[in-house]
Amino acid sequence: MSDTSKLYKQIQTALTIHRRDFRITIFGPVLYIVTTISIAIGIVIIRNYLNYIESNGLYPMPDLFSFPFRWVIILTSVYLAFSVVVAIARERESGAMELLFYGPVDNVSYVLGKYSAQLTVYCSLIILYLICFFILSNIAGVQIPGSFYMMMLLSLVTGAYLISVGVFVSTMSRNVRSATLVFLTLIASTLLIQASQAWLSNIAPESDYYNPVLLLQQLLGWIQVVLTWLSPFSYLNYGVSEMLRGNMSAFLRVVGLSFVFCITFVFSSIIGLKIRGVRQ
Amino acid sequence: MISTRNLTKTYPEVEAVKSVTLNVREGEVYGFLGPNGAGKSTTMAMLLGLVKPTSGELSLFGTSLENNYFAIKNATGVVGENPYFFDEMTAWEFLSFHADIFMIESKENRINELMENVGLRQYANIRPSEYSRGMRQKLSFVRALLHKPDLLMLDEPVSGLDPHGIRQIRGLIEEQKKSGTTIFISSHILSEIERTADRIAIMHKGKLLVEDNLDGLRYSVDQSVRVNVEVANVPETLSGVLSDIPHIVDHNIDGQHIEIRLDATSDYRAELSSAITASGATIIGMETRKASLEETFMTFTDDNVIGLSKGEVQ
Repeated sequence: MSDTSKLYKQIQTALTIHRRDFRITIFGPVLYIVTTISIAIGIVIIRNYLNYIESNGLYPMPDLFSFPFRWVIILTSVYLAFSVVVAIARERESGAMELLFYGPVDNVSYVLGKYSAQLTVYCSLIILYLICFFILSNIAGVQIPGSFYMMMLLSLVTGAYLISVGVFVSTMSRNVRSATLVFLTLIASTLLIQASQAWLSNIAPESDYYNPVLLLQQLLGWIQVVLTWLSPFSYLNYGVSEMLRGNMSAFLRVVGLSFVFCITFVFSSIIGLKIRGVRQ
Repeated sequence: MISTRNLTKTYPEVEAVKSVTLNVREGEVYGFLGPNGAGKSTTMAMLLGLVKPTSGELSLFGTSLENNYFAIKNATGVVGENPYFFDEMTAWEFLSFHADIFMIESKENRINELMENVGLRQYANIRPSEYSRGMRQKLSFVRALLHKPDLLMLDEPVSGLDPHGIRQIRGLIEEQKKSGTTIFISSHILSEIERTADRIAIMHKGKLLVEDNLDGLRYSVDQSVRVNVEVANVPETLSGVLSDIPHIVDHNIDGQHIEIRLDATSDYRAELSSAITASGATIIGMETRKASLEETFMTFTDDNVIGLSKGEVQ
């Protein structure tokens, strides 16, 4: 008895899990609700820009489509990451994960199967969004700039990164409740800190001495520095800014770092699942 | 087929499995018994690679899970205590998914054949959540047998089933036994183990107390033969007569019924019969009774049997 083609079996098993999960996700109604909301938000933002152009005769931003597309990406990737968190944690809680591990499923094939299924759905949605934005550009009579295609690349790694975080959180969590709580806290605190820091930076401190606003600004500034290196949203914002500035080396660095983090989280999920085990 | 040496699992609060050494031979049905919390499930989880042992060695098919994970998993079928399914799948889709996991060729034929065997063919397109407990357990068996495993590991396979369901599952186990599959059954239902197992292991408080065939187990707890005698015209002197027979270990007269424990070194029933008749009593019936697995199990797992619980039997 020997494992002559371990890698082949891992890939085959991962593909079987991938097919099942892909089917479950695309047949779920929530995905279409999230997609519709995402596109609707994109349309509203573009419509506002067009109104602004109509009133002022100027573009408010160098690229009409990047900002709305950023929101579409954030909503979609957060939803897909959240759904993988729930799916994996629920399988552990219900015992279905253990059932899979009775057969030739190991931590590598399980994590890769789950992760690749969500990533495939995400890529399919990015193509769908691209088609929608093409239609919108035709309706608006505004050509999609070349930088928008660069953003597609950035959106792929950002989504891949966020989904990998979701997989990691769920493989390490005991049950659905704790996995959901940890993931939502992570996302909410990241977005909240970024928004608070942006808001506070607009408030001028009244005194140079002891001042709570100044203290908060400094504290959030430090956290923001850490987040800049860790948060997928920061990478997205930074990548878009650099792309619009035309700083391609910085843009590619962002894409590369997101990719590295993505691989790190997938690898950590594989190791984490091995250590954590399949039982609740 | 399965072999462990000093297998131990320690959790922060408790030592769940203490240095268990067991051997399951190829083609046998191995009954794995123990009261709740004895460490059976943890041992089984370690054998399946679901829980990592703290120390000790284990091998399946003569090799380790670390070295031959996929080969071992492809040759092992498992029926867990709780039959798990995927909510979104019908029974057929569920089996088809597992057939894909095991990379089974011509899966349709195999699924239909097994579903037909257990009488679930007409319910193939129904979700398992709508099945009865017995049907779900049978479906779990079908899933475990899809890839024609050489080793079948069953955790409480008849737990919660009605007599009809138990009979069907027993039939499946016997069928697999005939085909040469090695079967490892962990169960609380002693009568089922007594019927099907070739050898039995008893666990208690994380320790493997004993591993033997049923006769060996009986002998290790009781070296006497039990004889029940039904008599008429019982004289008052009968008790004294029985006490004088040297091969009688113990006796108890209850009306017309006498329960006697005889020395198992030889067959002393003729001598016993003569002595009872000579006392003036009339023998109506006599039967030799072996200790049931339940009695043997209770003796082994009784905390008062200090020597046994310290593992001296092993």
